[in-house]
Parts: sequence; structure tokens; C-alpha cells
Amino acid sequence: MRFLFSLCCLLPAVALAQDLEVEVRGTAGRPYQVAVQRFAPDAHSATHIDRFYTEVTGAIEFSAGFKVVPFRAFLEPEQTQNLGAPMIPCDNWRGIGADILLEGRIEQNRTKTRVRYRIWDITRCRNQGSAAYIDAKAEDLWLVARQLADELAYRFTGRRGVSATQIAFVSDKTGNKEVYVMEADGSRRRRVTGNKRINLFPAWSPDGDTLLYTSYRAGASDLWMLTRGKKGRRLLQLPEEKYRGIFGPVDDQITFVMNKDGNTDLYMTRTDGRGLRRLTRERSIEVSPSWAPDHRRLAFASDRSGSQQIYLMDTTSGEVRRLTFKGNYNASPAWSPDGDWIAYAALTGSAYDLYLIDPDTGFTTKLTDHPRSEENPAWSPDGRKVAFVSNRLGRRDIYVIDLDGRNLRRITDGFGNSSNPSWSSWLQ
Amino acid sequence: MTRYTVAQESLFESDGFRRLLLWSAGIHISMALLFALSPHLYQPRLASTPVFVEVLSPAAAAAPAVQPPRQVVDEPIVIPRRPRPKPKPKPAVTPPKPKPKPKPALTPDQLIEQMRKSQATKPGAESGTAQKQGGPGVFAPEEAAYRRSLTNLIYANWVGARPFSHRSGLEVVFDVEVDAGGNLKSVRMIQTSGERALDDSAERAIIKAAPFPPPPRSVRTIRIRMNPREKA
Repeated sequence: MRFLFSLCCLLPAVALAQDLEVEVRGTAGRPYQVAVQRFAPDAHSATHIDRFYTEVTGAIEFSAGFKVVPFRAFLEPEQTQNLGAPMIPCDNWRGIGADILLEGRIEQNRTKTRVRYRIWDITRCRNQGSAAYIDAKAEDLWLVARQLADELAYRFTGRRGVSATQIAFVSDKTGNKEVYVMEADGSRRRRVTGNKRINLFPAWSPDGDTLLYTSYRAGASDLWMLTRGKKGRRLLQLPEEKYRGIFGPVDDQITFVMNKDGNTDLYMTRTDGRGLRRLTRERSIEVSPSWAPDHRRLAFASDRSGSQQIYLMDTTSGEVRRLTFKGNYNASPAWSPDGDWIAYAALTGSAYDLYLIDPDTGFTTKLTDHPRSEENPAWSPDGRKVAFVSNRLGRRDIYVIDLDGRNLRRITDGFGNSSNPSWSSWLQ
Repeated sequence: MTRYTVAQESLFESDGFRRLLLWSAGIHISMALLFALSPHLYQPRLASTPVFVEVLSPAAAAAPAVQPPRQVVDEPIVIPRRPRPKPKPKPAVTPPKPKPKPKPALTPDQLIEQMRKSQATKPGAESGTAQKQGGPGVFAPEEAAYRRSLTNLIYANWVGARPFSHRSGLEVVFDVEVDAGGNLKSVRMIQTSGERALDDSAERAIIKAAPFPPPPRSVRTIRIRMNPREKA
């Protein structure tokens, strides 16, 4: 009887043993906190250490969603002590709120430099990647630092960072509109055209090796190509005026705007000039082509409804669909590399703002909001940043911003009026 | 004042009490058999050692970026998805403060109080609420408060999910084992989102959020569903 009594008391407890289910929706959006140690030098590389630290931390902060932990918070040494140690004191890094640790060593012999590094996931106390850049030239360490920062971003986000990519743009610094190329953070600007005429709308090839641009260098507006290490060449031997070419839908094809018989439409052709095909046939003006990453859908701006709006064309079925309905002037659609968004500039009042629209659902969200104008959106190859032009400080400058509206940076400063940014893919 | 005293011997010796005891034992034994035979208890037990185990199918490891979300199975027994609760009918009695989103502002105590009130006013909703908590039909307001605190903790610690937050259909599910003090004993992914980086960030969020508050009663296993997309 006493056994039965105890059974009665215990069984309810057994019956109540249960699991819980918890649902977490969304994220607070805090950036990764990255602790970066100064890399350890050898007998010959001490002069590179500080410079490399500055480059690599700058590149990490340029990537969307990463923040560098300052030295003053460190419980561990500022400089890597033992790169070969099998484990690191993760608790000390956790204690300062670090999510990631980057440590490394720079070795230098007479001509070559070797950069060894380890990336640690502090939360799980796990080596998330270690490797070495070997045979780098000392003068290329800035690029190694950026590639390393991009690698770190890849380890934690699944996509490479974009600090080692480039942006082509137009500036009137010399008094003429010429095409320039700079690193994605705005450094190392150099002019790539010098014809003292009007040059506009540079657009990178998918491999980042060639620029297609619009130039008046031969009189009328025409399309020209500029390949690294080669001289510029005119693309199409056609008498009509051509503008704003982009590469696509596939590698050896370009899509552009041509004014033929008084009608401005979109055309495509191969880069060797063969296979010319007309894409739009309306009496209205069609401009600003931008291909979806699936190579099948084309976004463009058209005034066929009476006001300029963004349209989508399915090139397999030929079906055209209007995408934007708000506002009287929507321009410069730019399809994101992952296909999820189209960025565009919308005229609100007397100034443009940038918006993102989901091409499938039409869901729209504002990317920038400023009394002055923001125009010419261009996506970074990882789809996490947008470069654009704004006159918010008077002159037209190029800015970059993360997709969540953070990390806004002006990357041209005192460089005349800049416009038409085009972001390269990852460079080999 | 009247005082009631009960003699222990007389209670055990009475036929009525014995009959009652036998009935109670019978009911409990049948309940125990029912639970023992149900698939619930056949769920594989989690490792008791404090190790973090991450299980990915070879296909997921090879090409996580382009694969659609898939079930990850670590043993031949497939853990069935729990039935999703149906949307509750609107309460007949409106709450005293009809703000659009009052929940985040509530403290756990207020929440418990509110749930008690709603339980009292709509008995029909009891089973639905309990089912949503993953419990076996017992209404447990302290568990609702615990779930909320866990959700907030993990939400605040989830770093790196923002790039995925506009995409739908990305859900990663973990089974987490905790001890009585709320310390994490193991984390096991039972469903991948298809995005390796997102899965990793979600696992890190759970680890960073620990230790959790001590769980209510005998709760030792927590299923955590994580989706980077905010609720519409």
C-alpha cells in the first residue's frame, strides 16, 4: 500500500516531464565584434606591422556587419604571441565581447613577404580558418590585408567581403568628365581615360577586367571598351548614338540604349558587334538596363505610362511588367547580385531618394533619406552595400552604405563632381 | 474557530480511501503506460556530456548556399515536427489595455497575471495554449514567461543574421539540453536553414545567450526555432 502511495506521488512528476518550444524571429542586427591583434613580426618585417594592422582593421570595418574591438579593451596582448599554440584563451576574448579573433605573423626575407594568420570563432572557441599569403611583395601588403579581411567576412557570413574590389566612376576633376577607378573604400584613385571629351556610365565586365563606357571622344555618343593593360576601343561601328551599355545577359554580350529613327530603345549585341537584337519596341523612351542574375529578366526605366517608371521584361516570354507605381519619376534600376532587390532612385519633391524594391512582391523600402539627392545606385558584388551619388555636401560625391542603412561613408572627397559609380566583381 | 484533525491510521484503514487509492494508482499506471508507449519518449536522448555537436548532411556541407532548406537527420529515427498550433480565436473579453503590441513591455510577472486572467475568462483556449507551449495539456504560465525570456536572450545575441532577414523560408531548428540551473549541456541542430553561415550564427546566438535562467520544473530539453525574418 505504501508502495502504491509513493507511486501516486511520483507519477505526476514523470507525467509532467516535458520539452519547451521557443521561437526566435528576427535579429537585433548587432555587428560582429572582431578583435584584431597586431601581427607578430620577424627580424625583418617590423616596419610592416603597424601599417598592416591599419589596413586590415580598416578593411574589416568596411565590410558590412563587422566592428573592430579597440586595443584598450584587450585582456590579452595587443600583439600575437604564439601563432602555433593549439588553443587560445577564449574566455578572455569572450570577456571583452569579442566574437572573432584575428591573429597572425608577417615574415620577410630579401624579396618576399609571407603573411600567416588564424581566424577564431570565439563563441565556439574554434579555429575558423588559417592560411598564409606567400610570396607577396611588401608593397602589396595593403591588398593582402584587404583580401584577408574579405576572407574573414566569408568565414562568418558565407560571402566574401568587398574591400578588395574596385569602383569605377566619372569625375570632372580635370575639367572634363573622365572615367576613374578606385578601391572600394575610395583609396588609390587613378584616371583611366584622358581624351578630354565627355565620358560617362562606366560598367564593369563580370570578370572585372574590362570597362564598358559611353564616350563622345569620336564626336557622337558611342560605346567604348577598356581592358586592363590595353588601349580603349570603339565597340560598334554603327552610325546611331548609343549610351549606357552594360555587360550581359551573358559574358560576351552587352545591352545598351540606342537612338534609332528618333526612338530610344534597348538593344543587345555581342561584344564583337555581331548578333544585334532589339529588346523594346515602344514609341516611348527606354533607358537604364539592368540584368537579373538569372540572365532572363531585365529591369529598365520607361516613360510609356506618361511618367518614368521601372519595368521588368522576361526575355524568354517577352512579357513586360510595370514594377513601380508610386511617384512620377523613378530612375536607374540596379538589380542586386543575389536577385532579391532592385535599387532605384525616386524623385520625391525636388530631390531623389534611393529605394529598394522586391521584384517579385513589389515590397518597397527606403534606403536613403536626405533633403538632398541620392542617385545612381550600384551594388557591391556581395549584395550587402550600395554605392551612390549624393550632393548632400554641395558637390556630387560617391558614398557607400550598408543595406541596413548603416556604415554610410563618403568615398570621394575633394575630387570634383563624381557620378556614375560601377562596382567591380571580385578581382583575381 | 473549528479545528479539523485527521487520524492517519483511520484514513489508511478506511475502505473508501483504499478504493480511491486503487483507482488513482490504476489511472496513473495507465497514464504511465500511455506515455511510455508514445513516440515522445523514443526521442533519442541527448548526450549528457557538455559537448556541442553540429550535424550536417554531406550534401549540406558541400554546397550550402544554393540548397533549399532540408531536414538534417542524424539517426534513422526521424524526429517528427511538432504540430503547429492553429491560430487562437479572438478572446471574447478584450484585455484592459488594447495596445497593438503590449507583449514586449510586459514583465514575466505581468505576463503570468495576464495569462491567468485570460485562462479564467476563456476556458476553451486552455488546451490550445498548452499545446503551443509544447506541454502535454497542462497550462503553465511560468513556462510562457520562460519562453519569452529565452526568446529575448537569443534575439539579442543573434549576430550575423541581418543579411538573411528579408528572405522567407529560412528556418533553423535546434534541440538544446539544459540542466536545472539553466546551463547549456548540448546544442544539436535538427534542421538546417540551407545557409551554413546562418546556421552557424544561430548556434552561436544560443551559446552566447547561455546560461539561461533556471528552467521551470522538469524541463530539460528545449526546441528552438530560429528565423531571421521578423514576423509580419
